[in-house]
Amino acid sequence: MEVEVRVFATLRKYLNEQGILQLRVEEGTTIRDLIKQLQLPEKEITIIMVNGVRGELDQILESGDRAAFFPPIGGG
Amino acid sequence: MEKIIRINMEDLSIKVEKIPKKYLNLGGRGLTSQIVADEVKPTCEPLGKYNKLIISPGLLTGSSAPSSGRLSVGAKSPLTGGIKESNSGGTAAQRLARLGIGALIIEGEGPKEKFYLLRISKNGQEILPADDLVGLTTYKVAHTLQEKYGKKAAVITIGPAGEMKMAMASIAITDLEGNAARHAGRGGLGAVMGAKGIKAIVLDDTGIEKVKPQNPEAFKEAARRFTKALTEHPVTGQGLPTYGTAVLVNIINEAGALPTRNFSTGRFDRAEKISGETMAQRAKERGGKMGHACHAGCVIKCSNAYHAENGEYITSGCEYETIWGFGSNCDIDDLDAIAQMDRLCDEIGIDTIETATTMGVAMEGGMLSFGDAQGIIRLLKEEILSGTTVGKMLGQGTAIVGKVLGVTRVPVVKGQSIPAYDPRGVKGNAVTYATSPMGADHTAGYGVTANILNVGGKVDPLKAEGQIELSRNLQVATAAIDSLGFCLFIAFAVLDKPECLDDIVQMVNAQYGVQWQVDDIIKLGQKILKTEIEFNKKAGFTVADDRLPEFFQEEALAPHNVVDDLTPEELDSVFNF
Repeated sequence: MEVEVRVFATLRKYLNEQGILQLRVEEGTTIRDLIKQLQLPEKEITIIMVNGVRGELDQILESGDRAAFFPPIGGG
Repeated sequence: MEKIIRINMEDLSIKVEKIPKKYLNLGGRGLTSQIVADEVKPTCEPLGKYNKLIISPGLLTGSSAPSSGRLSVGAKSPLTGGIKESNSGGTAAQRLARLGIGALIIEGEGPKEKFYLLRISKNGQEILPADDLVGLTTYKVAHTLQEKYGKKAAVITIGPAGEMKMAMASIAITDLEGNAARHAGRGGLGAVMGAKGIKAIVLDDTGIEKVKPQNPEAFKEAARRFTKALTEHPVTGQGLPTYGTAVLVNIINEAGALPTRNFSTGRFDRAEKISGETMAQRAKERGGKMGHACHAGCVIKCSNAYHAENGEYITSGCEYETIWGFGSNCDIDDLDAIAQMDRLCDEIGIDTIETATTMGVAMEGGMLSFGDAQGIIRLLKEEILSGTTVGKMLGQGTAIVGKVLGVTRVPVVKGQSIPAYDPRGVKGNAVTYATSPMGADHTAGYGVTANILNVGGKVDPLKAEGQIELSRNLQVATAAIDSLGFCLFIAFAVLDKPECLDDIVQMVNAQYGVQWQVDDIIKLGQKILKTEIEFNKKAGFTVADDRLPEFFQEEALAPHNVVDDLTPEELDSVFNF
């Protein structure tokens, strides 16, 4: 199935400059699996969103999901 | 800080008073709010003789505590009609602290059509005519005064907007480069300063030593530990100095809470173009700066200097709020144009948040089209700066412009506009916007921490559950931090590492020889909020003012299709301590 991945800030150096990737994954792939597949450093990911809401590492992805990963960031 | 300096604008007299015992444990917002509550008639006309402008450094300002150089300005706000504390970085707070000044109190009826300069140094204080500064924009005032009184002098100044008493007028403060790029922005305190007839204040602490702690060893230890906590936390130690606050554009957009086209939707299709990632890239290419400190001793350095394509300096302190406000909220994707708007607002001396939301409502009301960046720049230069009638209308802020144009989608609470997080998408912030005595204020109780950033816990931003408690705790903590002189961004480290509160308490104890406990910080925050709420009550506020505008309940925000569903009972329970 197809999913979209977006990474931001310091995580972009692990993916590509735009930080966007469309890719095919197996049914039953979890967020953690996806992170491993993309060779992103899990410990640098503080915020996970799937379709704009908070996601969890063990969450199973569905077709068309948009997974977003952020390192620790803040502001005001 | 043993002195209060009282300036009466009716007879231009200056009195130096010993700070009363009851104020000894107060600084920053704690002191400004207490003095406003004690000395200002809650029903007074904000631009009139009974309002007072209070300027205070924080309790730890001037010490070696990291990131402790923030300034608080307090008064009754001409924008909200309630009590206001407006907080800023820059170089003024530390100068005041070193000069031994706990508070400047500017009172009395301001002179008609005349402006003055207040000059304070080791040798004393004097009021001088400021005819040569009248009409000047803030950068010009700062550079002129630093030419005359030395590059190390700190300058507090209003721009033409403050002189014209616009309700969104800010008070500018010099940064470390001498640019008037830091602002006590929210609530129109620039208009109060203008009404009092003070154009600028210049502070020179040459020849004065740093404020020394009573117990230097204990202070040094606690400050060292606290500094370590700040530099080791990934947000304060890495994220903020690298990408600045603009890093929030992409994450709040992803969360579907980035107010777009005057709060009509929660995602902006061109968010990337105005993101922190883009800003950092441009700084690299053009010679701007990231990791820029707004005051000496800040170890977080979240700010920036933004340069044009040809390498020329445009502005400093172009932050998330400004970028959001003139960006997605006005349907503009041009970061260069936004930087120009930031500079113009700083020069004119107006709050970028209030100005941006005003433009959003102006667009909604048909004054100009969404996306018209040059239109905004024209309104800033040719109407607001020039003080035309249209400019003066715009200068009254979002609520008034909404009324004039017959717009109902007007994002304000208590007359102050809502900042860069849609309350429907970040319900922790919704509670703060509705209930803070400051009006719609994002820093007063920054629910985004647990709602989105996973700092200090995790609370689902799209549900009402847990938000009251979250906002309450944050509002209390923030009031205390605002009194100590710390930059609020220390909260990112403190929320994840509560031991930091011990370090803060130990710094206060070592500095002043007192015996605070962590619980005293909580009590301080609660006390300040109670004081502010009491003032607002006497000023005429009721629970009806602790509500979000109606459209947030009626219009569902895409992409999550959420509405504001906080109940009045819930909102009225926030301050149940």
